[in-house]
Amino acid sequence: MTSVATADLALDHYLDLVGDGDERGAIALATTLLDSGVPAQRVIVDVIGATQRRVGELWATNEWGVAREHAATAVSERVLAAVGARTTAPAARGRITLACVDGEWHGLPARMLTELLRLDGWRVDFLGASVPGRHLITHLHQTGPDAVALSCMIPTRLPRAHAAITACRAAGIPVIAGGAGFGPDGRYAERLGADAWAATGEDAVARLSADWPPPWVAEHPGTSLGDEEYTHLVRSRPRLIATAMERLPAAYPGAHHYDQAEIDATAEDLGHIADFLAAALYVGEETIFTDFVGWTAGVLGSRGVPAGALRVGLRLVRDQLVDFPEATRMIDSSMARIAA
Amino acid sequence: MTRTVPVAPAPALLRAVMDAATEAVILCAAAGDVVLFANAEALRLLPGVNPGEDSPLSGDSYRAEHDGRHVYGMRRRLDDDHYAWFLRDHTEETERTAELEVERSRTAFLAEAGRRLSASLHVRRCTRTTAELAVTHLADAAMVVMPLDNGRCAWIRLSPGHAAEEGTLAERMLIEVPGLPEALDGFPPIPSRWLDPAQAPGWLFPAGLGPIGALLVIPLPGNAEPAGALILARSGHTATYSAGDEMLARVFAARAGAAIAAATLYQEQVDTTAVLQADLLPPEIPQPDGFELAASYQAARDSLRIGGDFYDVLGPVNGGSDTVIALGDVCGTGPEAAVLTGKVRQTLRALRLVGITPEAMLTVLNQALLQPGRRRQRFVTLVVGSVHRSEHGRVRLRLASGGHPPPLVLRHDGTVEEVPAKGTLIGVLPEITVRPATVELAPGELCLLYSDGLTEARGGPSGDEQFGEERLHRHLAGCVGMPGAVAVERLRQLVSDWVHGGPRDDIALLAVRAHTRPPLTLRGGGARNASPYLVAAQRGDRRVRSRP
Repeated sequence: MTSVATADLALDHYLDLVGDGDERGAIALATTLLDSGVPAQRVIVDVIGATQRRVGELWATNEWGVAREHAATAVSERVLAAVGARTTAPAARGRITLACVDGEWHGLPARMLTELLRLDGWRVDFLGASVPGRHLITHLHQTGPDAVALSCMIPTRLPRAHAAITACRAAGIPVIAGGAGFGPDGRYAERLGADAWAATGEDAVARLSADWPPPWVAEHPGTSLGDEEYTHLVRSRPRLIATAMERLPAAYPGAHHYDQAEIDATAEDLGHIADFLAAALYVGEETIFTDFVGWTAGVLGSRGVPAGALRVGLRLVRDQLVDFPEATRMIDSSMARIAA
Repeated sequence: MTRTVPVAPAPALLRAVMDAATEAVILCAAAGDVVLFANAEALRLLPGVNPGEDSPLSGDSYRAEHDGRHVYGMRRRLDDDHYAWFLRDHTEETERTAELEVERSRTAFLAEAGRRLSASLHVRRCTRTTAELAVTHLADAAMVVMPLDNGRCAWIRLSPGHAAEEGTLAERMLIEVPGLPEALDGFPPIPSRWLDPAQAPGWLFPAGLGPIGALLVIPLPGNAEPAGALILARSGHTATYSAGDEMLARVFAARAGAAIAAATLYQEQVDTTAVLQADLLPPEIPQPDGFELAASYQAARDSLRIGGDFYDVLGPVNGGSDTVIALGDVCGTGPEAAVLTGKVRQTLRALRLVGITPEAMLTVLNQALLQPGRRRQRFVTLVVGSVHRSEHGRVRLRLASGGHPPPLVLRHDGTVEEVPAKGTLIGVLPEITVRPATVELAPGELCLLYSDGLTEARGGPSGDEQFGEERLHRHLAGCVGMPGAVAVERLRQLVSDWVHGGPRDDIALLAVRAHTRPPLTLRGGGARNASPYLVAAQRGDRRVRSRP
């Protein structure tokens, strides 16, 4: 039996185990795979990573609740730690610092990369999820790594990712960016000044082992992003949401009877609209916003929320955006997409 | 139409005019390129030009060097049968341009060096940057040698075809490199011409570098003592270091030395701070058998990681079975507050050994903080609890509060209750009242201790609304079924999203959760590993091993 087939077979079983929050069972499974000769990299990528993608889908389609999703992720983190503890690799390469961008709480992909890099011979400092910029830079000055790997899964963190990348480069450390937040093909990574981008953990390992450090570049192009529209939008975010909440009952009669939890959730959703809009303006990429709206429509649909509710929210924001030509255009373009 | 024809001057006068010109002029016949006339300047600049002979110049422009003179000029057509060359001596201009080029590249190099050296506060990165800059501008190979530390010198080296190499050097080997002991002792640099490259030991640079033609050993000046030494080598027998090169290398060494010295100073400060704050950082959370413990701490000043909130977990002592937990808040944030949290935690650890109840611990702590003669201190609020396993997987907590927000209990049906433990804050009044409370957790139920940085975090849609107790209760209720660590992480994430990057106070969270029973791994009557996958995997394992 090839190791790939073994890992495939393990996949469904592993999903059941993490779905039950069965830490011991999941660790036992991973351990058995390692003992039967499956390389640790395959366990990390093909079992833990593949399952985590599945968990995300199960949440998006409302088959799993938040509690189950979080518990499953926590189990996978423990399994990763167990896989890491059972495998040793001599630290033959340099030192690398890994962090999730400030406000980015999806830590598992970065944790997986931590183990993959360690197996490839790097000495890795994983600083965790949502690392404040100051904390990251302090760490760089104290440890002087050969690279910073920065993970960003959600585009709303891109302005902070940009600040972190700029600060890392100013501290003389080259940055490799990773995660879906940097867009398809990582196209925003270069615009934000990253030295490299990797689609997957394995790509990152290959990139760092083949060609690192990158040649030093004095001034990176595109280091000044975000225009007036972005600044105004971020400044007026509180008022934007407050006004939208005031006008909501008139536009969406169901909101008359919202309890505090529903009010909070709605305000949070409006906040997401504002944040994705801001990120799209910052990077200058309409797709950041239209993709978000398309994805949200799917998530809401699987929870029985009609597309009309989302359109009401978008309209409440749009009506307030006087003298925001770019933002207005982005909202119109996204509304055309969900109408279709 | 009439026109006035000027009187033509005599040919001798024309010749005198031409000879007086500072530009060289050579008149040629188009047929045969014969020189018809050359003025005095032409004869001086171009000795090969002689009237009556063939012109040695060809093409449309001319650029040449004769006897150290740079000559440059153009050919112009005069009429169908004649053309002339107009040439000038550009020697001084050329030299000035060359000097300017050199000066420009030196300035650019020093500017780049300044930018790159000031970027990092890390010693190793600074030394590496120094070596990198040196090999791009000053040498074929470069080595930075750090000052002696315990009889050895750390070094980093860059040479053609090699990645950066690092190592250490014994003190006795330093004298093998000419000029190195002096440079490390801070003496002025010895000019390159006095250093014999042939005396450089074989180990100094890889053999691939070839024979070293010029060697330069320069001290890196630091804070009142040398920050190290820079060894530069140019390969090839004819290589040299000019006086200008040496001056540039010294200016560069001064900048590199300042950067390395600053990084060294920073590293010393960091090491000292790390030792001092080691005891102030949140402790590792032990995992006792009977229940889950999870905690989280976020300091208001993120780069320090210490502040006014604290938690501690003290395992069973003296044969007892109960674990003591504590979570509290010293008024204020930052290092000053952290120092007091250290005192409080130390006092609790000592009281723990006496084996007294949580409420008695608070009373004694209050007296300790109020001791006469002590400097007036900030007050503290905290919850202390003793936790032990009870029967059927249940967990019992006895909790005493000194003016702290009441702990919350999450029941398995999603109800959230406040623990009715009440008491006076600690460190202000000589007498305090403490009314402890007892809580029992069924399997899967959770008790949360938190600091008010959580409920008072400002943010939300308006940016200025407090997170509040109601929201905390609701979100905690949403954590039913989550392991303790997951619930704590989720609350931390929710409040972080709430604050949306704005300022916030310290936040400490500590959760105790009774294990869920029975363990899920024993579902199906304890028949573990019954999955088709594991059977297959084990078969596969056997097959691999049975192969010859």
